[in-house]
Amino acid sequence: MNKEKFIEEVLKLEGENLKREKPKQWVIREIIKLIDEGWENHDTEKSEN
Amino acid sequence: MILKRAKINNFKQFEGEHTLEFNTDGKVTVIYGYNGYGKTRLHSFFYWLLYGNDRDGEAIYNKPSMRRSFQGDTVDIRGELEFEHNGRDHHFVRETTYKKGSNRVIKSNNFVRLRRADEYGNYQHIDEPELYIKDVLPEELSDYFFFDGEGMANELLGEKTGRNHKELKEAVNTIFGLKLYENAMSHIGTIDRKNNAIYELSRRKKDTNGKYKASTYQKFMTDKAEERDTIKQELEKDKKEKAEKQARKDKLSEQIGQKDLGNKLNAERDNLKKENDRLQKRIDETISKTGKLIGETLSYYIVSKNIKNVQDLITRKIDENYVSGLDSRIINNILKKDNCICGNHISATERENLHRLLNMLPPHSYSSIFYDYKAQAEQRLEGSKEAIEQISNIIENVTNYYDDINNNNERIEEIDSELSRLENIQQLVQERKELEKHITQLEEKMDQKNAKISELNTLVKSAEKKYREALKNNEANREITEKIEFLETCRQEINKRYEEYRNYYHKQLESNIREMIDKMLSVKREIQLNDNYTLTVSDKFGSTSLSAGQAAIISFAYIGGILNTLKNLNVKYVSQAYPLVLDAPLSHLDDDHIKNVFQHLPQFADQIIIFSKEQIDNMVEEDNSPYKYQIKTNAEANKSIVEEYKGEEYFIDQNVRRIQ
Repeated sequence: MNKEKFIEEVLKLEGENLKREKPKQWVIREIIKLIDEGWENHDTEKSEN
Repeated sequence: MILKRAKINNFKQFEGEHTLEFNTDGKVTVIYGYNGYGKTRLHSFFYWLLYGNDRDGEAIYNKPSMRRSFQGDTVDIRGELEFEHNGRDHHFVRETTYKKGSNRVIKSNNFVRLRRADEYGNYQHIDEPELYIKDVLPEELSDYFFFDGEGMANELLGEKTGRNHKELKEAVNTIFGLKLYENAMSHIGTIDRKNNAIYELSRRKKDTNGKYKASTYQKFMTDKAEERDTIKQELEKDKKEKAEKQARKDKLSEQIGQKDLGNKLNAERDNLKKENDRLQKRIDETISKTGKLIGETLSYYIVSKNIKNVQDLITRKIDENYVSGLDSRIINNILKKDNCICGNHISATERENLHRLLNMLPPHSYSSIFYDYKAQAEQRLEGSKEAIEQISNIIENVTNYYDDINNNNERIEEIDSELSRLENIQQLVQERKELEKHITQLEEKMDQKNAKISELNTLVKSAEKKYREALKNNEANREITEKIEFLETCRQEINKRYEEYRNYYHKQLESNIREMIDKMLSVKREIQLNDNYTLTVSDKFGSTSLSAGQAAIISFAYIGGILNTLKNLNVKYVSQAYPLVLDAPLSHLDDDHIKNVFQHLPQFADQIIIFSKEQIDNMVEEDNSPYKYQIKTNAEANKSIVEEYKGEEYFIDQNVRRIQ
């Protein structure tokens, strides 16, 4: 999983977050979703390698 | 965000529809209005339009027209704003309806709509328009762009205002996009805290079969961390309380410092009393020593002093009563014949007057009596001249002593009234003593809390270690552990960037503000941007005092500094063009400073809308700007209108400051 890309995604998420009234749980869920998805690709990348 | 056109409909005293168009090419838009005409209310219109709140907590409908309406009637207040943001045109509408109830006015409807032009210029609706607006210009920052001049200066310079420095820091961090990093870090979280991504992930873990379960360690760790954080919050409160008590104590000490003044006054009073005693003693001595002389000579002395006084008195009396050409012989003749020189008979009153006049004339006159007295007195005084001179000196000395005593007594009275003012010092000393006791107790409590925090920290750390160990050998948890480790690294990375950017922006902002201040203030000042983004401004002698005008200039410089910093940095997710809507910021500035501001404002702000009661035509004339408005008012009817500025005649009836 690419650290730089992940951080960019999280920051993009935070940009969206600024529009939300109560963002906390929503952003946390999105971050976990990001890492889960990333991990799947990460595993695929690993097995391909 | 660049404002293009605003429509105001029935907002406060602005009855009916008014349209304002704004310069969008960096030139200034001016809205003229005298005090009380509605400048500030028009300024607050923008805030209501964007965020739906009134800054001053006032009703936004026109009160007189609401009073005139009947129960069940409704009044619509509408605002429209056309603006450009990130190269796209936007059209925002807010409409609020108020309904008159039986005994109060109810907000019955609030409608907002936002449309954005696509690349072909067709307008599309935007969902959640209010959230979009808050993203374009965060509400907490709006104060800096809808700028009320003086209030802001106090905040920037660290004076106490309704807002605190944490909010200033948040606002500046938001505009530089640093808020993104702060939020990201808090959402990723740390292993020992609840309610974050790492915590949520760790809850998926399966327990190991060891003596103690990982979940036990995890619960212990997060509970202790929570307890620690609560104590930390309490500690912050204690710190605040201590600072408040300390400030009160310092103030008391300052007042008690006047106790020294009391001591000084008492010492002075004692000295004066002693001095008076000395003087009195001297008087007594003088009198007793010269008692015999005085006894023998006093009557001569008094006579000698009186001769001149009496002479003056007699002369005056004679002048007042003497009739020229009359002598006692003629008067006696008249009285004898009972007929006047003219042959008429004399009345009883005339007879009485003539008798009185006769007394004024020799040999019975005052002057003849006086001359007799003088001759006899001088004869008797002849042998006492020296004694009279002596006694005259003594009396002068004694009189001087008495004068001194009287002066001293006056000063003693003054001192007594001063001292009675300082009498309650004892109470203050008592209060200070109690405060000192409280502060000491508070410090003890804080020490205990600090000790508890460090104890809890140790517990959290050791639980964390055991928790990680308990998970380590469990294959089922391998993936989750790796994810958590990955998130922890990302958090550290984000923190690294955050620190880097923050230091850089801080430095840039400081140097930009310094540059602005150097350009706009005629006297050189040292400036320092503090960690909480407040400013410390001092002159070359280290004095931090500023006039209201200088403080206003510094606020301009601050805003200018922020805008310049944004322009020169490529901050992601943050728009770089902002309007600057200034409400009457010029009243405290002298003409030179106003010129400076007008010379430099357009260099840092992309758009300036200025509400002014000063006539500044000359400042903006070069623009040939058609975007000038004037507010007219009918105060009795509580109605104002905004119309195109018709030139100087607007100011004719008023005594207006003209900036040349």
